[in-house]
Amino acid sequence: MIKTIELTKVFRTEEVETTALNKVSFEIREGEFVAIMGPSGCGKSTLLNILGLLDNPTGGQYNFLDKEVSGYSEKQRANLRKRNIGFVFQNFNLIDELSVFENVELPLIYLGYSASERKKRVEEVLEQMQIMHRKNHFPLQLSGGQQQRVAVCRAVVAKPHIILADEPTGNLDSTHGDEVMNMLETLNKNGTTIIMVTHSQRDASYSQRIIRLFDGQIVTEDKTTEFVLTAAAQ
Amino acid sequence: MIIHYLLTAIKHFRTQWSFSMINLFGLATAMAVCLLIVLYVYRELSYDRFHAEADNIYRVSVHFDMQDNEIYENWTSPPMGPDLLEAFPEVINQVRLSGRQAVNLWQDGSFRTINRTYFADNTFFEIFCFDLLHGHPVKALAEPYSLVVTESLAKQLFPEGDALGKVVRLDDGERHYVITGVAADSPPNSHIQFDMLRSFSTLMEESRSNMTSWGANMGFQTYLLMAEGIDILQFEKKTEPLTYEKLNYQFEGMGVHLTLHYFPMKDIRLRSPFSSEAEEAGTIWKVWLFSTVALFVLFIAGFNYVNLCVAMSGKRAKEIGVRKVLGANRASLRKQLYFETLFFTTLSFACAILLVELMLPFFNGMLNTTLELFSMPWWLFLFVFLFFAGFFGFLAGMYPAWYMSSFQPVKIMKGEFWSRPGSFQLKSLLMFLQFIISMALIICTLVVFLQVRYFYTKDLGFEPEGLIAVRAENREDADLFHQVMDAYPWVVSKSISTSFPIGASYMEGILPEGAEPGFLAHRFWADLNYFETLGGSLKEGRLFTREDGLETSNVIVNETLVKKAGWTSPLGKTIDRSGITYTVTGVVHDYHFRSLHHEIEPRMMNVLGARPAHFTHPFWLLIRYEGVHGGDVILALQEEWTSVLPDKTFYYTSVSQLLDQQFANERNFGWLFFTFATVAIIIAMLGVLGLSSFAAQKSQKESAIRKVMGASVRNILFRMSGAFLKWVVLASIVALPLAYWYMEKWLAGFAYAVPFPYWTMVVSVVAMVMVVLAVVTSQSIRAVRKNPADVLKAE
Repeated sequence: MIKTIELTKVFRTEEVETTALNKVSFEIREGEFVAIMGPSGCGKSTLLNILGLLDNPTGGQYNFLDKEVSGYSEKQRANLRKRNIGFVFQNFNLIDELSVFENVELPLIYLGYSASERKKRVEEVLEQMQIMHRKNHFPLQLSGGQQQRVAVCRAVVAKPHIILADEPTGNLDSTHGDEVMNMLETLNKNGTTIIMVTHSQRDASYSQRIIRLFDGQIVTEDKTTEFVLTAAAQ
Repeated sequence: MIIHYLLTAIKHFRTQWSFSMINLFGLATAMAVCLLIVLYVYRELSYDRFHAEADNIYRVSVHFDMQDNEIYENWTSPPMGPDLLEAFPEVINQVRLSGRQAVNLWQDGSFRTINRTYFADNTFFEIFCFDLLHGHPVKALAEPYSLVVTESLAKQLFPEGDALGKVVRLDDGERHYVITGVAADSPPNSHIQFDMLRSFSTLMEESRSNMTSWGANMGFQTYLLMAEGIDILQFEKKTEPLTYEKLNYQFEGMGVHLTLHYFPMKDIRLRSPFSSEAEEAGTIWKVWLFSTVALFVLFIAGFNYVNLCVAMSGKRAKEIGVRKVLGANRASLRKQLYFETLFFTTLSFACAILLVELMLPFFNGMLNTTLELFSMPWWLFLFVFLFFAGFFGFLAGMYPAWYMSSFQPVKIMKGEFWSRPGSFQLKSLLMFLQFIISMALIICTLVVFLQVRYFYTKDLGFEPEGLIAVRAENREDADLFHQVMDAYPWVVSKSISTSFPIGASYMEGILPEGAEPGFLAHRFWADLNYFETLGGSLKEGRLFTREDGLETSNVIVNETLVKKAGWTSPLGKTIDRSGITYTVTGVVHDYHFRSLHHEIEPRMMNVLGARPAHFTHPFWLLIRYEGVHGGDVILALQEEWTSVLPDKTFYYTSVSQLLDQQFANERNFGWLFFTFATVAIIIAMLGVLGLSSFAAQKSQKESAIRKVMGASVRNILFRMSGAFLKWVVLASIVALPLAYWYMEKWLAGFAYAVPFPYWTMVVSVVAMVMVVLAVVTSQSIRAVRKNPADVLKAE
């Protein structure tokens, strides 16, 4: 589903050149739940942005759904993104002026769904995530956990092939964090590919594989069980 | 999608209430001001265009060319029109109008005065497109003693019946006229405004004066309907021989060359150089000034909108980023942002319409107009709507839409939004332009104000307060009324003359001694008390002492005549007029006997007893009163007049009121200009308010760090204000010369104008600095006073 070959991202200013990703190569198959871990500044978020088609690499190849997309224009990326990728952010990134319903509805608007179909699908997903009773509330009227649940609803409402989650529990307490992770796990079990950037070993334990980055390079690719065992032994 | 855009626009309006209201207030006020000005300019530009042949109708005027001086008069004599029609095939038709008169209309034993009446040829309704509701367009004014009344007057006279065919009595009640036509009321955009038209043939039958000579009785207006495509300058040349034969020969040897000119009727309202128009004319400079203000107001409001949107974009960055992440591309975001601007401009336009409805009575009162919003043609209204809500919205929304849709979601998520340098450069440029306009407007407003004040405070050379002029048709009536005035103790002084104190007067070619080939001078005849009554002053020599004998060959002149004749000792010098020699016995100080739009011209006065018998102009009885209220004086005069001259119309003018009326137009114009300019400046300052609030938000972190490093609140405020003030200083470099150039040109259009007041430049800069300081400080102080620990923690 996703394959990168020597993916590189260099940020340049007038005086400084920073290599955020240095020849990163890996593959993610459909239906996998992969966690990306590493210390701050190692290039996790940069990698996630490129995988999510929010940014282009400066070198290497990126195959998304069997297409080479590293040279895509902003318009092509937006088109591919809205049909195939859902996002969950650490800080939820809900639009404060829109209600829960309207926030979840947004991706469907850009996909050109009719109003009646939008309503049906949004209500369906809100029911599924048990947040239907809050559909007319605004983000600032919800708890952090509820906001992230709404963000997950928004990520899945268009039935994307893949969900990218950037520290999805970073702003939540452990109870709400577990709730969100369980939701992601359920989605994965139902066939959605999930790539998650996290600092939390606990969250990483929900994944099937962990890619560990350091200074823009992959240092290990472990099966989660092995990783958990190694961590426990240490 | 449209509904989603609309809902989003409404939500943004509500969530960013204060910014939205600043923007809405700015845009709606600017649109209202522009709409008012559009209404005014459209009315002015549409003057006399409703005539189907408007492009081919010309009014005959007489051009006096006197080497160093030129005079245009729109008064012509009765035979000019018919003679031109007969002699030149280019002239298709002609119509003559007498000067506007007030007449008494008798009905059931009492009379009412009808103020706007003319004698007109029966071609009036053929040439002009005034609607004749009842009656035959050609026959209605054909027969002597036939008349046409307007619909309003007909309803007043015969509320229950048809006016057509009814007989009314005019003037002394002895003349019976038949109503042969009822015309619609004159449209407000016509320079000819009438309540009643009498047939010209009546005048020809009644007049005892010379109605066949080109050089006599020049008290009529002649309009020519010319053939399509005529070169009017060529036609002017073509009529020169006839003019010479009929008129010019009289001025031979006086250095005066007379030609007929043909002034386009559609230019009368805006470009008339004539002082004696029945309605206010020559207002093109007002149209220009107002149009400039409208344009400025629109620019300022547009810049504000762009600035405030861009300033607010920080608050919307997250939304834009999220939308992009969720699949919105730049085009769809631009569409959404355009839609929001259109929503905003449409809402502003609706508010502007309400504002215009509220402001119109004030505006009409100030400009002495009768404008109505919905009297505007539908196509103009649609154009204005599309221009404001569509085109203006498109322009104003273009940059914010382009700017905001270019946000990169990755950068927004990283919090790098504020670091875009380009946005602030554009905001600064727009703010710079706003400062230029604001400072230029401050200067223009002050100059307009000073000029207007100069107009109504200038010493006219006589004392208009306490002076009333009463018109008498003949010398007997004037003498009779003059005599009965002896009984009134409040009459300080009185005089009979042939001159109305303010307005055009009779002109003749004269040949002053040693000043060949001579020039034109205003001439009038007056009794011995004229200058005492007027409140003028003698410069040298003496006034008249008797009305007969040798005094009839003496003349009193004004300073301008002396200057023009080049005399150093004027007393005893002679003036030749058509072979009769007059000796100068006195020189009076110059005084303004026409409006201040005209320079003082040479003037001479003969004693009343020397007035030629054939002279047909009316007499004016000047009465100076003291110790009583003007209103009581007029009532007493009217009562006395009705008792001694019951059949004659009492026609009077309070000289100070007439001047007040003349100045009121200018004064109101000054106030209106001031109001509009103030609105423009307030809108500009709202923009500064928004921007400074934005800058304060943006620099919170910087201010906090500076405070930690030891900067005081004053240091930081000074620094923040400096960022705005430097633009004020730069803007002044452009604004001051620009305003100077524009106002110098404007002042040059007045015969009497204040010298350009340079201090206004200083005032404009100081005022702008003060206002900007106040606005910026008010917005920044809260942000600067925040605890730096809290700010840095939040960052």
